[in-house]
Amino acid sequence: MSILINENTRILVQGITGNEGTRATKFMLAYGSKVVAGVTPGKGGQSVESVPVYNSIKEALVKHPEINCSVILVPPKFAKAAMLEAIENKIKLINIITEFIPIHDVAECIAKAKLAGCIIIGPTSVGIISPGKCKIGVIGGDTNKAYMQGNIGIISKSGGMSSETAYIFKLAGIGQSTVVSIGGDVVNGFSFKDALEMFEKDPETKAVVIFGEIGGTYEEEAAAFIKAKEFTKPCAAFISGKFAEALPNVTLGHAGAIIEGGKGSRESKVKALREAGVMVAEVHHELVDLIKKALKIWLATHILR
Amino acid sequence: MKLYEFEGMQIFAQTGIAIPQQVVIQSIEELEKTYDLLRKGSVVVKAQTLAGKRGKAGAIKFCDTKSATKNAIKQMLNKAILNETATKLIVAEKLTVKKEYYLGLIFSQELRSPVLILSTKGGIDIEETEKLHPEIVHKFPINILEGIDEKIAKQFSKTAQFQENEINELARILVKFYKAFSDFDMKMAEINPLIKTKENKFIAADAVIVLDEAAEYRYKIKFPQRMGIGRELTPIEIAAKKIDEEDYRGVAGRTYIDLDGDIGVLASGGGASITCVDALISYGGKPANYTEYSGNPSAEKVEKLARVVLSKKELNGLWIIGGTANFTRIDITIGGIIKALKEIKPKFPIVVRRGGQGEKEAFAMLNQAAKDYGLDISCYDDTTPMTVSAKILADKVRNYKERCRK
Repeated sequence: MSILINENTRILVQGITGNEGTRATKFMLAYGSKVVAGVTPGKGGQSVESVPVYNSIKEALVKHPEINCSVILVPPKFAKAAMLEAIENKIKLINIITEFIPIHDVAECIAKAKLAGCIIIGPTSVGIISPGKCKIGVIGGDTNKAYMQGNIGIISKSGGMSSETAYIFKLAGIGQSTVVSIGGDVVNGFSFKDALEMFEKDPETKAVVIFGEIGGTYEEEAAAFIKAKEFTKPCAAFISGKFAEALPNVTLGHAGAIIEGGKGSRESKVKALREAGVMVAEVHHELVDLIKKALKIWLATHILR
Repeated sequence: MKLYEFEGMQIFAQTGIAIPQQVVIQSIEELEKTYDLLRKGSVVVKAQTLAGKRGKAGAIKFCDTKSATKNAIKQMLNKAILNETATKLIVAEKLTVKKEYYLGLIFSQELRSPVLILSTKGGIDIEETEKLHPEIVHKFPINILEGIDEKIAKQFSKTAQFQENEINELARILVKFYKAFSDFDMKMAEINPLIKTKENKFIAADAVIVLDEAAEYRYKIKFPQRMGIGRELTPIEIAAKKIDEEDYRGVAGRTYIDLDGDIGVLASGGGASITCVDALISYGGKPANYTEYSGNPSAEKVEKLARVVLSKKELNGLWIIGGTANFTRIDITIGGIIKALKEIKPKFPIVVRRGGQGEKEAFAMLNQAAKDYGLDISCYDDTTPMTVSAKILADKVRNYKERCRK
């Protein structure tokens, strides 16, 4: 198994004729992902990398009723309309790669997605990969060298660091079940907690790694979830932004890494996670040893039982 | 983007939320503008700074006379207040205060929706109020699909224990407040205090507003750019920003912050660069700057950024660091950095850790430059974790400093 995506995922690309959309489509096809259709209003009838393009999702669904996932790569101005179209057509999994979408648009779409029973991942996600099965978005680029099938789940706010985190584990011979880039925006569709909930039920996942950043409360929310024993597998985390905290009100790379009113500080996140029994690495590459150690203990206690 | 009080007031005035009678002053010659207000009574002079807690910083002064007003303006205008030069002041009528309330709207990450915060005690930090009297700080999650209409606004006001005879008026203000929040793409908005005057009028006596940068293309009022760093930019920071503005190819220098250490940092990628600087500090290294380039910038652009980083005095090391790039060309960007290094010929250790397209060519060029120009360069590919190279660099810099001392 794995979470969110697997060999049965059938992908629609919204914004497929744009530079970003075409690039992502190439990456996904090269990995063996099943991209079955694309949508760009006004460009119906064309094709991108042999994938047929339609004017609307409705049209695409007539020809490809098997579509169960949409990847959105449209410019930020058009993102709201694209998200609403996917929601109205009840696409179950919607992964938003687009960055810089206004927060009011995102919050409105998340509210509507919830009512429609759709999952939104992102915005500002680089995608999701279940190594050996499927990948969506631009995660892994064209080399995919960071990824290898295995038993670690990775959840990351930072797109770039989802690959770097996977890669340090791969160098140590540890592969991944699924790697989810949730995005670092103030409000996003899918939090650490949401991913933990799925990883808990996934037998292939033996442990989970969280890459968090200062700002927001998703790390604290995850800590509460773990503390309540809703997630019981070994978990290690790294929270970046220690130095940035000395610089109030500076946006560094990610919109989410803003400290407002002292909430969402690294200290508060590390404390909450440690209290929940999560091992927190001080330096990023220490995550590998923490997980190795935790897996040993976890395996030992489970065999004893 | 955080707004100044006078900018926030502009939005309130446009949405029909009452604000004090006031003028904005940019020079002492504009003193006359305040006379109309002074004829009617006392005034308050408020320095326009992005940082809060102006009262405690002496940036808010009440005046009764022309000469007192003039003095207050002289004391504040173009003076350093809260790490910023106050180039504008508000001079406003002094309101007769019967009561002070608090109104706030902010996005809750967990609920993924705006939350309205109401308190019958305004005028001080809402955090303070919550600490002392949590029972009078009321939070209402807002259904973004419905917003705030008068009916629900009345319920909120009742729950927040506003007086019966205030509820209708407050509800009307709440509806406008939420409309402003939504129409102007605010991430956060505060009216603290909302003053109830002796004449029973409700007036917004301050405005703290943070706009969503992502919505800039549809802002209803265009506000000038600001860095929001909480202090003036240094000349090096201004130089770095200029690099990015002059060349549209990729990003380099858009975020550049002077720090007070001795190791220059040329990092690539948002998440990676922060993780790496954290690691460098953990291993005892002291970064001289934070900056980041990404999105396949041109060689010239990266060269300029390298020159800016290397222009800092008394560096003892340089770190060229980044994750495995998806589409930034390593040979091209490193080529730009080498151009700067060849000319400046620094003696201190340089540690490079990079991966991605053209990495082999880049490392060959670096090694050649090291040989030709006597540079101390060590290259690592992505089989060395980024944060391990932080330790390597910190150790090298320590040794270099010791050698220099001897």
